[in-house]
Amino acid sequence: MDELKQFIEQNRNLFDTSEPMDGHFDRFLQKLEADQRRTISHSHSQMLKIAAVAVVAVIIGAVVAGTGVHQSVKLIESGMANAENSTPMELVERTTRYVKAKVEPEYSETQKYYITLVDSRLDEIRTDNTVDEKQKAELLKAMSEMDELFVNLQKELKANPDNAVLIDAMINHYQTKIEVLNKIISNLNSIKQLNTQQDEKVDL
Amino acid sequence: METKYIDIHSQLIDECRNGSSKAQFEIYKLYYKAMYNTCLRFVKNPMEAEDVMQEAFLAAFRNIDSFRGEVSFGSWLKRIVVNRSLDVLKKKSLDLEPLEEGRTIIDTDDDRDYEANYKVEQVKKAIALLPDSYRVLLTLHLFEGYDHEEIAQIMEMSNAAVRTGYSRARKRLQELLETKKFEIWMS
Repeated sequence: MDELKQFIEQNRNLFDTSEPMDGHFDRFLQKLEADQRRTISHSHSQMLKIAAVAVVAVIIGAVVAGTGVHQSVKLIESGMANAENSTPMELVERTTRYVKAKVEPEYSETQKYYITLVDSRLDEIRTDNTVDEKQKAELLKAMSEMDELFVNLQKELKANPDNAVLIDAMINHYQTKIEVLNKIISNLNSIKQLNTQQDEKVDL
Repeated sequence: METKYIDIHSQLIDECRNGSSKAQFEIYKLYYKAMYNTCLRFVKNPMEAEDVMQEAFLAAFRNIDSFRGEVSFGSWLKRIVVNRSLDVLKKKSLDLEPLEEGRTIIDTDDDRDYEANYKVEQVKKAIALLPDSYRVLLTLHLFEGYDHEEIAQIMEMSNAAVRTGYSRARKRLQELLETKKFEIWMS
């Protein structure tokens, strides 16, 4: 056995007596804070990406299942098949690729277009007097919840103005919103149709 | 008591995983001294040692997910500290080739009956006097407890090179410790 090694082991506390210079706690706290800020904004944007993907996937899934477009389902499934090994970034890209057709125009132009479209659909629901007021309120509330996510995306975009993934997520958000609205409207229409048919039967 | 001690740490480590800066600072307070002294033995300059030590902590917190408890948290952290210290030395172009054996023993002193404290100071100063390559090899083994294979891995050297380098370094240290001349520097 190495005597010196033994001696060091036995007297380790006598060897480790140096202290960093005064103020090292404060210096470390400053570094920690700076590092924390970086990590938080990073994980925050990661979280938003995941949330965007989740919303897109769930809503599109619901829309597609509801309309029974089997081909689209297959398309989305194939897109999500390797989802487990993907980074959130890849997931967003893959999802957008399968969910939307090509969206290449300037973002602001795109945004205007979608805002108009969303508003016209929302008006359609609002002015539909065959819909129960309570149901209407619930529908509009659900839509405004979707808006909250969008506000977060907008905030994130302000912080990272050139982030293509964010812009994609925002466009996606509009598209899914419209799809959801279309679905709602078509459901309302089929209910209306059903009601009139029943009315007709009664008439006969 | 032993179990409680470990429990306190694993709870803190879990909080660190969740990004609690309070827990991270607690961990710093628990480990900074051991880590600082390790850094200091490698890089010698106090300012630089502090910087390396603190950056190692930050890196550890950033990569805390890669800590899976195969080793104690202390050894895991220590390894980061050691690697970062060596990086600093490498940047300063530390000569990793063990130096040629050139010096000879001047005088030996048979009286080994020192107070532990005095002996500690002797060992400290003797190690500090060694050239970088010798100091690193000795410190990794004597203080950090890595075996020759682990040192070879850390230093990216062959096992044989570590063995030869280590025995030369060890001999040189022994010379320094036993040299009367050195004792005069000590006083």
